[in-house]
Amino acid sequence: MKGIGHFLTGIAIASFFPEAMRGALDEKSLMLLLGGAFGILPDTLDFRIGRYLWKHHRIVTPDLNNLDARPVAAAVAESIDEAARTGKAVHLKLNTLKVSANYHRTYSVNVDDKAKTVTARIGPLKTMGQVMGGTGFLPRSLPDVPREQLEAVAAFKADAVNSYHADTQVAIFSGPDFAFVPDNGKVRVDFIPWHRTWAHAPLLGVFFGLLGLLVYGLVGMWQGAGPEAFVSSKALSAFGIMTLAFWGHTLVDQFGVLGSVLFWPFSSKRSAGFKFTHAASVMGNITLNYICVAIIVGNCLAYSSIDQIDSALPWASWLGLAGANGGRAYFAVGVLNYLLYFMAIPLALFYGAVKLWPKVFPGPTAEDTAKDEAAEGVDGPGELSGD
Amino acid sequence: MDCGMILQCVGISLVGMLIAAAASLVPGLHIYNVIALTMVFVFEVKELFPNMDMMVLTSFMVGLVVGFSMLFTISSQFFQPCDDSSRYIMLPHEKFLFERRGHEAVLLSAVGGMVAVFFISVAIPIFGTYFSGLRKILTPHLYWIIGAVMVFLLMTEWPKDPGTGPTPLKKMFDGWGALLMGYLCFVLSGLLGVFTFFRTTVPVDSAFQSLMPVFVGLFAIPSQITTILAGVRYPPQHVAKSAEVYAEDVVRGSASGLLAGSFASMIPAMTPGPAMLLSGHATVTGGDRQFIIGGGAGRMMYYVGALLFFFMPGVFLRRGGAAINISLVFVPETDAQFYLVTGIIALTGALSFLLVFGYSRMSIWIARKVNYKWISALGMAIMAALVWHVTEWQGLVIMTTATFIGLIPNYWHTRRINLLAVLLVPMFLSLSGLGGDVAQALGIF
Repeated sequence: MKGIGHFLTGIAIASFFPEAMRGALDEKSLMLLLGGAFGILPDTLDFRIGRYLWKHHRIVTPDLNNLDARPVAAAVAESIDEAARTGKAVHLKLNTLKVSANYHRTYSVNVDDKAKTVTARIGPLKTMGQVMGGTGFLPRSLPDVPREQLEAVAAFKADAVNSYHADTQVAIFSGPDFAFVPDNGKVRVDFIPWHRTWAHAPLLGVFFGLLGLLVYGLVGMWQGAGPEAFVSSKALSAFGIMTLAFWGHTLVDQFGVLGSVLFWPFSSKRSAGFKFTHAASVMGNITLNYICVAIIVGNCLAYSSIDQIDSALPWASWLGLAGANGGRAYFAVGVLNYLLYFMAIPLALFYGAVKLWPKVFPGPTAEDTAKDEAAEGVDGPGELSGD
Repeated sequence: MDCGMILQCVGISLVGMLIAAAASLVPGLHIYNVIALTMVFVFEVKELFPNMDMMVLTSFMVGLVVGFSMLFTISSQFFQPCDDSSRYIMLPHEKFLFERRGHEAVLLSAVGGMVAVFFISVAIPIFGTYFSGLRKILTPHLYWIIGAVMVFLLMTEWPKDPGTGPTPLKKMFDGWGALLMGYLCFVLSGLLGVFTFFRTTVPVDSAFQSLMPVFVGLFAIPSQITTILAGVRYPPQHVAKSAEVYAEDVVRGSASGLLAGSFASMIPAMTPGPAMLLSGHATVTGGDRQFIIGGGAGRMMYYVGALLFFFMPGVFLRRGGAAINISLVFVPETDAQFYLVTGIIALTGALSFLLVFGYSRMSIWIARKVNYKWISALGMAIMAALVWHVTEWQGLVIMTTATFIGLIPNYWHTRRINLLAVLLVPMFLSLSGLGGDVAQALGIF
């Protein structure tokens, strides 16, 4: 999921803690922010620290002045065989090729575990706005090099398992990392192996939670409440928020293709995801973000005045229930009312609209795209494989 | 409200829109800078004609804001080309310029703006009270929402440099260089914001414009300097007869922009920049067209939508420079005033949308005849003169200080959004009740 989804998940979790909500209203406390910060922290640790600590055994940087796919394919194939031969993991990094501030030369790698081949292709230029040469208005822009340098195949001997994307593109920002890990007599291909490892481990979440407990406990003691204030409700809430927000991140990630290393430091094996969605899914991200915002607003509403609650959630007053949130029936009816009005109905409308959309506004067909490209003088996608 | 009054208001709003069109030719000039100057004029008029109905002058300001919101980015599109050497990422509209599609980018942005005008004119009168209800629920929570935005901005800028150094430390240093400069930017902008919020350095008569030199220095002048130093040429522009855009792009781009604009309208210190960043992530905006359409919608929703809430009976939300300045001379009271302003927004929005086609062509023509560096130099001189006129030499000192901070993102390839700490930090401190203590600790008062 996108970073904001994790951030909102953390705040949504924190908003269930009465200490955090009451603190926000009475003391301008920052406990809710702990949820956001620790919700996003696993990715921050990975992308700002973890990636740099990762040790690479092989680094591939094609020569921009003499682009050649052959050494790329060979390096990947040799890494797989080396892992099988030595019984040790081999970490490979494919560097990006920056041409200018806006353009990168792309290349791609495909590990076919059935055919035991690695195919590398030198691709078109790609802009930082993610526009690939050969699409839209950008010419295909393949380099002027012999054909055998544009596409190369290298064979490997080991049995391999490649469960992630079949085709990995090296384009903008940082290039991809691979780990070729010997596993049960085969070589497992792990993509961005430094991601979702120690920094996503639930045990680290507990560690941060304990750190929060310690800090809030010591502050409570320092403020003169005595040793018994060490395990105050505030300190326990900090522990809960930091731990659960961190766990929330790992859990949300688990719904995608790639799981996390759940049992670090006892195991370094990254689990597979549930494959319900993927990190860039529009529906998945919007649904998660909407649910989180609705939870946060709902919890803010729960701490508002009775008038505000009654005007937003009229069911309880229609039923003649009294007692605001002090009354269990009032609260339960209010929650049901909120779930229907502000979660179920909007999400149902959203999903309905998405379902109906292609029928009302059919998108461009392949024929339209081909016509557009012909009109713009863009080479077709079959250029590389055609004669 | 009689017909004569309505006609006067509509007529003067069209004048405001045309003045906005003229002012929009200066790249980097912000609507609030123009309003600052206009306020000086408004005060004069008020003194000369004490019996004049302030609704007339207010309509003028509304026309000005709508026209500016639709047109002010066009000059930047053609007069401020992006130089590769000063940027890590070229934004979509900048890229379009180099692909001869600047005019298309302008049209896409205007489509977003028009969707927002439609939304503002139709949805706010109908659903505005719900928005107001939501704001009431969130009002006690605004401080931590601003804090959350700051935490998100600080924790989610990923290192752009892949780090190809020989050791992990060297790699990390490569990657963290830009991040640390981003943090420096945030801290310096935040300190400047605290200084500006908690101490009046500009002349007391202009105290209501104390943010003007800060914004000109942080955003406008650095852009002008970068343009003057730029060494790029861009190809002749193709004036397309139609813009290639699919309904999905319009809906998704506009939705993202409207969400950003609404969020920025509701939360103090929030501007379309960080709001667009958040909404773009939240709605997973994809592609250049959606980005550009979203930008147009977001700006219109923020500048104009927030202004309409100021006139909405029962809401009277004073958010944004336009509403704050208008509130100095006008207090909205009636439903009629609200509906008149809504009508003016719809009319001037539609007319300024039509103006976009010719305006874009005219900008292309100017860019062909006059070197863009001269246009930026002139723009810089106009803005410095404006700052001097409104806030005197004290303002110029603040503007110069802010300019040095504003240049950091360009040359260290870090996020410009960090500069918005100038608003976020003091507002967060103020709402969380820490402002006075922090200002005192810093020796500001």
